[in-house]
Amino acid sequence: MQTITLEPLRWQDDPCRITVVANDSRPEVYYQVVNARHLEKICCGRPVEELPRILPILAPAHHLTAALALDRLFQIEPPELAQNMRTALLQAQYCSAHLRRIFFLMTSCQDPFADFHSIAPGISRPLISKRVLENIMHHAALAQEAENILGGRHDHPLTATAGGVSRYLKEGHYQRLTDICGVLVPYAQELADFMRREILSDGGMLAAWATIDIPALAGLYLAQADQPILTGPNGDGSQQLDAPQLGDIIALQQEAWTYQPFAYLKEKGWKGVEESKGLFQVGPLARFNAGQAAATPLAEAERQRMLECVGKPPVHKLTAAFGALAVELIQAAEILQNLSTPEMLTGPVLRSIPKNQTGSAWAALEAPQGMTWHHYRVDDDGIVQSVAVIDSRAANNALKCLLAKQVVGAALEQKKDPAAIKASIAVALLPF
Amino acid sequence: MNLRKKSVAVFGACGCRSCEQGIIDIHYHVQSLSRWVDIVFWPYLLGSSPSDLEALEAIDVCFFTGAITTQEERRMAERLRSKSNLLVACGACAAFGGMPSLANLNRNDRTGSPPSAAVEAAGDPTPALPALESRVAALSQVVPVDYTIPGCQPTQSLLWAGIQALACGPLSRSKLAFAASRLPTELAQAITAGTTPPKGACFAGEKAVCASCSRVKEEKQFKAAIRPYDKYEESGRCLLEQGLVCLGVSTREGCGGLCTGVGLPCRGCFGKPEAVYDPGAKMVSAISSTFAADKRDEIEKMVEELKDLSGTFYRYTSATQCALLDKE
Repeated sequence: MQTITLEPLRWQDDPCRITVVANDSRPEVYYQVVNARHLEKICCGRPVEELPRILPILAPAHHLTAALALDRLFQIEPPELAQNMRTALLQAQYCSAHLRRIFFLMTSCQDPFADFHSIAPGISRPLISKRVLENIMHHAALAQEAENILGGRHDHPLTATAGGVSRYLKEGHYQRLTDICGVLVPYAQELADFMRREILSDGGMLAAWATIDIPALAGLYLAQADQPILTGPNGDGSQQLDAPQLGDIIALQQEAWTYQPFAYLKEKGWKGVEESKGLFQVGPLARFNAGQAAATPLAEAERQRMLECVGKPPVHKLTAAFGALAVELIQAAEILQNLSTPEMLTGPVLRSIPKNQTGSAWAALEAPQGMTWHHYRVDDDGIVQSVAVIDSRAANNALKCLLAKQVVGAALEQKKDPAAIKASIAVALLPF
Repeated sequence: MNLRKKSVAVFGACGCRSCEQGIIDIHYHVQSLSRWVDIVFWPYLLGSSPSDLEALEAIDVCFFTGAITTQEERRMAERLRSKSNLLVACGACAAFGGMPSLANLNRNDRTGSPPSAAVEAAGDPTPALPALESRVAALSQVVPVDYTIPGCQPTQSLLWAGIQALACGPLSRSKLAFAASRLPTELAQAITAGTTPPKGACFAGEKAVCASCSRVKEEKQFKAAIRPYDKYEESGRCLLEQGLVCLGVSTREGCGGLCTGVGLPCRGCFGKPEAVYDPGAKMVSAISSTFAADKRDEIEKMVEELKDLSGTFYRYTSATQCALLDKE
């Protein structure tokens, strides 16, 4: 029995590796997250109002999900100003998160620090020009600036609190947000156009991955606030799930070979990664495959062009996963632009002051990486007794395992060397 | 003048990747790092493997982010220490243990075994996991550290100041006054002169956050502790004087009062200033002197109102800066 370890994988939020165990029949492939976060131990015992400042350790959007859960825990409705600021912050997070992933994709064949002397092994194709890369990151910086204005900081935002937000914007912020959006919206369109031509089309950068099918799993997304929709692998049989009960509908399975548990639908049962019927995915591809029209006109126009480029949903291809990022980038920039006016971001009240506290609360948010669900249980003093979080890490864990297996299988058939296999897996897992 | 580019490594242990993202942002938003340094090892961005590290003869500067939670991360810290001329703890997790070290406060059910240990022992062919450390540790608890860039995440100006002073050195033509102005004199002088700062330096201010906080201290005392969801003045007055537990007085400055500036209390991500022995003890002192109470029952009531003091006073620093907690 031979074991090959491919580590580390580029751009993964958690340190991880692929272990291939070759036996007589076919190789077993394991996607291993090799680091435990101990989220429950970090959060339990803390005052619940601190969770919006603690949980962004997972991803920035957890800040907003935690604030939504606090609203529900304290039974308060945030004023319109606060709701708009939170929504605007979420859209800015979409912009910077998606731009970063697109940047990573475009540097997948090159060392971004090496002035393009170094090329990933086994890949020979024209490299993305430095100007394109710098442009992406320049606009990511603008999106981050919008996050800083709206959230106080970009990676660990601050301003969303129980019942609202913690501060008003300053006079200059409105003009700056307008300026940022005025640049982001046309750039997002330009980038989507570039991606269709150079990355996603036949013969484009992702041509090497054209033969890889993404495992067809059900998709879970929030159609509207608090309405989780589960669509079948073939885009059929949409079913609305009960958001408050999501913790009972979805279970987490801890396997011995990875620190990251697997989310699955409890009623379908768990029979291992390959045999389980209850697996699903979240994130841009799940949203794209839901086949819903985009929320804004320019994004919808781009979605139509993207459908012609990558095919009609459900599409289980890597091109669709990255194409979805481009469409959502435009949509987020447009929504942010619509919200970035003094009329939308001013108001007499910042936050509602809690008067009551319940013993538990939940919240769901469609985050850039996919649907995020929180549930907290607290004591009478508001001290956290238990925390449950379902996010893209758990929800897409099985997808990543299955996808890694497919990429390894295809690469072994093509007799690729381990370095090339590792590079292929990193790109395949990137949009999830 | 030696014009050889310095070799730089970046490694991320247990954390959120924000510090590593910050270095990428420096490269694209502030200054092209490849002009000044050769990035020779970076698992997150370049996919560099442990064998790539072994192949390197030496590294000039290593920026280490994240806390140590597994034995594999400990081994990497040791290898990077032995290979690196300068080792920098970058961000609150590497510097003080950060938020992951809050798990140390709930140690009862923590074990040193990964879930795969039992399976491995039974001869199952499924691959093993790196064993967990018995407690979450900061980098300095595992290997000697030369410099610290604190913050969660470090501000871009301080991160750039650290990279510029330690990695760019005399090659850098750009001198950032805005970064230097917030640093202790000897650090600022080293940056502007292009020399290596004294070892052990922390790339942040010397005083407490209160020194750069925009809020007004009125020397008023509060009568009841309040929590961030209660009613208070979001702008203007000192948050501690309104009854909120704000760690500004026990936290090293350098962020410019970022949290207090948006109406929220400081949570201490820059660690304690040099002059403070223990941030929790300092907070007890600060609260005691700011709370208007003389009678025993008033004091007892106030103490009852303050919740989770260890998790609040040592939000980012429980692994390293609490004098009372077991650090072994």
